[in-house]
Amino acid sequence: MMTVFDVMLAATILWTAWTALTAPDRTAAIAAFLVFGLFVGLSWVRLGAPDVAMAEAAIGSGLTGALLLRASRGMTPPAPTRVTAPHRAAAVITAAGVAGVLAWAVLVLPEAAVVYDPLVDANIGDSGVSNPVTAVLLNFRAWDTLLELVVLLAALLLVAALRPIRAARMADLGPLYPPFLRIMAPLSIFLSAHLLWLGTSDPGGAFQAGAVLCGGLLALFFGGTLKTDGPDVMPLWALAVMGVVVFVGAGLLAEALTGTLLEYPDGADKAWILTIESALTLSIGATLLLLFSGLRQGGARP
Amino acid sequence: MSEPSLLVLWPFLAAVMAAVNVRGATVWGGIGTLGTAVFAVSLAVSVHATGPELIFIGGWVTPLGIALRADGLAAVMVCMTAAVGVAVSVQAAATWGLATTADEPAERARQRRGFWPLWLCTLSALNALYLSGDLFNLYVTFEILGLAAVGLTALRGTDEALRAAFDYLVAGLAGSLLLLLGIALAYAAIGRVDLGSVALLNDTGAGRVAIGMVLAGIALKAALFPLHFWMPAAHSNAVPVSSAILSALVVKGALYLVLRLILDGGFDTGPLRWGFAALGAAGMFWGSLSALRATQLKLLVAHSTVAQIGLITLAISVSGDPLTSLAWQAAALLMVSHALAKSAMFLAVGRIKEKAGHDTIAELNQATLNPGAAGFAFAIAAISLIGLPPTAGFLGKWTLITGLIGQGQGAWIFVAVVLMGSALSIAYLWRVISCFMKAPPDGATAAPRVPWQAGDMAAVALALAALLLGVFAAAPLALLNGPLL
Amino acid sequence: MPDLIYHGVGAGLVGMALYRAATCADLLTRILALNVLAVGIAAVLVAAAYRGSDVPPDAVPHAFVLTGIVVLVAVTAALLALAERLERDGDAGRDNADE
Repeated sequence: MMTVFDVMLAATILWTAWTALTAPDRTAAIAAFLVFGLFVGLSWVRLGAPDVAMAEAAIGSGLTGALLLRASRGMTPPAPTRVTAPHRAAAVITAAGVAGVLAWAVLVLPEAAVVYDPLVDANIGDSGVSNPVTAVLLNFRAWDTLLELVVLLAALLLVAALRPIRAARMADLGPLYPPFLRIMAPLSIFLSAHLLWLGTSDPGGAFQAGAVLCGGLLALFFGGTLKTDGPDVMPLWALAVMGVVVFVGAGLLAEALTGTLLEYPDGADKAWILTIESALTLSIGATLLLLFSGLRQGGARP
Repeated sequence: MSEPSLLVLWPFLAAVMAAVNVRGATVWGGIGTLGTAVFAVSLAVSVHATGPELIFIGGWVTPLGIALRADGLAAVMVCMTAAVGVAVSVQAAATWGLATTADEPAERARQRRGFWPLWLCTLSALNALYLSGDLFNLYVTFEILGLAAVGLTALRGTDEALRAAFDYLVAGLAGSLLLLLGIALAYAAIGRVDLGSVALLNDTGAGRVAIGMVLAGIALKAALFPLHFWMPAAHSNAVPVSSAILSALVVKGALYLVLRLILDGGFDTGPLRWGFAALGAAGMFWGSLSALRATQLKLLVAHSTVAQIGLITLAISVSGDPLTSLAWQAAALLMVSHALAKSAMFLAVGRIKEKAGHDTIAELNQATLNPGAAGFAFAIAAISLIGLPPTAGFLGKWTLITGLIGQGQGAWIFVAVVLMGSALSIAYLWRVISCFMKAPPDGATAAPRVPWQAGDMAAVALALAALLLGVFAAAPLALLNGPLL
Repeated sequence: MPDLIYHGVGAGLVGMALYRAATCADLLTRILALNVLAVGIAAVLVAAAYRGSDVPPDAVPHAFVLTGIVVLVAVTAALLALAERLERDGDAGRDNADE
């Protein structure tokens, strides 16, 4: 029974992806991409990965789609490219080849080697949290997460180093927007805090919470309440860097206390993880907002 | 606080400070770079004295956790990065000044406050790369490196620079995604992604495909022929300090990983080896011929990097089991000597372009410039690049040729290739050096000699380091001869 | 069983994205293709982590995919920032004419 559902979902995913890639109208393509992300998230729930599904829906398809929509506004509609037949044939062969090799590689695999599962099971008791994905992200492989935040910050530094361009005028969103905002902004903060707390034992965590917080901040940004040019941007910058600085500081402090980088003191793992995650949530929300707004108008820094 | 963690986190914290405290960006840049240099030397000394260090981050043993491995090869790469970094920072401080002044143009202020955080992030990413012991962690460090390097490329702000930066980022993303695909397949094949398990990938078909994809992704990032198309534009359109960092340091990260994978994985398979050797040779010829035909000085130096990357790849393909032969050290020595020489060259070329106002080779002669220190630095760096004794370049090529001869009958062709590559590099470098000695046309008087400046010192120091490293090779060789993790 | 289906989906997405990236010169379509490619790779990882309907899946690849998603959005934002400055200042038609 579920196989029928899976096959239908798979077909839908492939179809929306193809639409996203080939639709002649940009808005249709990006809308298809948004829907594609949601369906992929659904397929991951089927595979037992709700944390990842949430992150994909919020960041992978939601925020990315928003970024693309904003960028597409200034662009002309895509002109159909004249592709010569040999070029097209070569592209088909390469694409089919890679996809085929990928599919084959798994079909001929012997029973998958199971290495991480028993290790995670054995050590999750010591990790301070009971959600295994949070344990991996914030404890077992916390170094990866720290460097991932450095990636976010590096992207922000890249955008900040570019020449400022004139900001587009924000459209007026109508009289219903402020009431919507009055509900939306506090709700996003509550939801974000809830997801953060929930992440220690159930699907959730800093990234999902940060994405929801970014949604609330974006709503404020679109309404004109929150501006990212001029002096208002400094608190946002402070929030953006604070998360990573707290994480690095915690890692070095842990090293001073226990002798190994990022080894939390025994028994206090949960407290350390929650502190770091709270800082991360605020930081991710602020960084994603600054990346979205593109730091225009030359007022990015004093 | 152990050196490996400080080597990554210190420059990163300095980057954050430089980004937030814009007025003192140069000071934070100096603190970050000099501090990292101190830690690098400290790491090298400790690795030499007590052997390689293995740190399990968080106390979790691999494969569950991530390990930081500091052995002789990693220490050499870290020290190389730090040394070039200090010199380049001196040049950057000289170019953009130490502090904000009231009447400087906005462009200059933007470049200064953009450069330091991006450079410190690059330094942090490179150190994280050299010390990492996990494939997925390496993917994340490559992403940091890619974004920071693209930022450095785009810093100049011209349309060509932005275009080159965009193409660089797209190529970098494509390489990263190939690498990620390889990691996904490796996980599917053996269930783990730490570097210690790379040798297991040889056993399954999916594992071999995974290795292929990983190497393809890294080859794209290393600008290995024929995947080098994005590189010459990026390196030649950037500001001189950025070009030096990009050519000397950023490409080495990817090349280091290829070497490390071959050493760790024991990929003795013939096709892989010969494949890399062939691509390396092709890259050498393509780069050298493009350099011979280049009309702009910076483009010539950028094509020269493509050629040298080909040479380093050839050296990597010679590496075998580290326990039975030392041929792999040729690749390490060539990487170090290239880093020193190429950074000196780009800094010198930057000064030449600054003084002459342009870098069209045909119009450079003694009337338009009397390069002084910059010309001197360029000439010395050229000697190392060509591979004449007693430079580090000579040491690297010598080790390579000895290693090739030990490979047997088929390798003689590659010895010939290396020698032809050296001849070609003499040819295209002579094009430049002859300009310094070309008499001005129509009896025009030679330009006045330019006084030495702080930036020149950096270029000369790097060039002299390349020259003398061959003589004082005991230190890096001692590190390389130590046990590998 | 479901993991095989979704693994096939991942392979299909990778192929589609590669084909489209190679045959279309438009900037935004290329960025969309790279995003679809990344999601395809993520799908392969999540499918490989599946252990059956009553056994919890392997958490480590889930962490990989989460990290990858965040990294990808950062790179996409950087790409779009660069593209925006190119479109405003450079020749807007240059992208199509070049390829």
